[in-house]
Amino acid sequence: MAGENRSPTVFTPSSMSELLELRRSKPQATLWAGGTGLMSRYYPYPYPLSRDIISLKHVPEMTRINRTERYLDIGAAATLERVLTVGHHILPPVLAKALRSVGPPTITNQATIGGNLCIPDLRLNLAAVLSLFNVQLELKGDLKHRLQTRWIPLIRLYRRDGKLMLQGTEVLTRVRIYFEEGNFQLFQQIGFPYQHPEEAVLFTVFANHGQDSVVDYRAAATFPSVGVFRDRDVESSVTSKALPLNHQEIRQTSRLLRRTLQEYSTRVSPIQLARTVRAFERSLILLNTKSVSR
Amino acid sequence: MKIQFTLNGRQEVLHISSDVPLLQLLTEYSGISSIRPGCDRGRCGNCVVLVNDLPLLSCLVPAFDIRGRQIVTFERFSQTRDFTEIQKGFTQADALPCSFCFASKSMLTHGIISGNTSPQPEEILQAFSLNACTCLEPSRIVQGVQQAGTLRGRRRRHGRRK
Repeated sequence: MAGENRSPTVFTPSSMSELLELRRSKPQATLWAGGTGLMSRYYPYPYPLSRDIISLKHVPEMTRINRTERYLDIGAAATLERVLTVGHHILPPVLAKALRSVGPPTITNQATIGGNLCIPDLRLNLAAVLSLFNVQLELKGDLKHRLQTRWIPLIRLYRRDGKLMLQGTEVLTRVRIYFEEGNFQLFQQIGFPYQHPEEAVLFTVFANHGQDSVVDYRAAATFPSVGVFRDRDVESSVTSKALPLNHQEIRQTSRLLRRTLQEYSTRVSPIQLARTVRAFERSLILLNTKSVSR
Repeated sequence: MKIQFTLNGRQEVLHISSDVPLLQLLTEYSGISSIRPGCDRGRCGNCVVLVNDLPLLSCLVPAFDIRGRQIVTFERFSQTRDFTEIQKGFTQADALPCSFCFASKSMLTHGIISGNTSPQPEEILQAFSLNACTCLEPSRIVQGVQQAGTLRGRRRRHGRRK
């Protein structure tokens, strides 16, 4: 097979300007960060759709991680293992759990944060959890024939149908995560997002509660083949409720979630719907338990 | 494409398609026999090699990505003191992996105890979660890795004292 195909041309830019120039001159080239996603999906060779590959690993800005008092700045091609190491003790536990859920170190030593967010047709472990925080993404690229940099919140990276919303030849270059504290955090992976994207759900909650009430409740779910779901109405139906929530309140809010999910997309499969509602109910029961045990 | 890298301490230069997986490069072009090709898609975990001392699945690394990097396979790793410790640790814990997965399991263990000589069971099981061979019970793997970690820690402390 190898002999039948021309070997892809690999470009390894060593600076951001070189990368952006290459991206402008070869808009069809595949951007290559860790490659775990591309290598495990296409056989026999990584990416038969494009004959040009731009490797991002040698651009220092793309792999740099900066830590300040207020936020963590992560180059999009930084490996997940490095994010876990540098962010040890400062990453919100729910985010650390989501990063670990991507795979064992044999994967996270290679997979990158940008890759996890930007696989064109799959939403993976980090999208939902990052959508709960104040996360800003730096995009650089050629907009209206000018090189531009813009910052967007994570949720604006995806269209409602889950597709990437990058414009022109834009590249995701940095992910900025502002620190926040939440006394109730939950991440749950149900099923296998990579192998069975139509069935898997990644559900996550970030909340703050006092002894008698929920102060702030945020929840999001990723349906790998559909997109990222977060609904303010569902969240506000829990926020400011008195704790512990009674059985009827839990049933009411989960009914609201079910309805909202059905309206969100017809591509959410029945099993994903059932799994999400169950995970949501479980999160409320755990929240009850935690508030009582404080 | 010309690929230059270090394989088991030896400089190698190959002219090869840039997107050939490292697994195939090692087994078909460099005569490495310790790697067990399985799923070819990062799911069976039996093709672990050390790339710049980090355990990676060789089926997920394309050839162009190893330029200038150091690859160590089990052929070389099994001659090191690091390996002897791991072997001893597993033997002491009465945990003997089968010959099919021994290479991958020992390099995964090396990856864990290089960073932390007292790993917690969850950390160990997470690292082994992609290793599909079921020749050992999870509890045995945990004991083997922890014992190997103890030996590695002891060596480090002795090394520091000297």
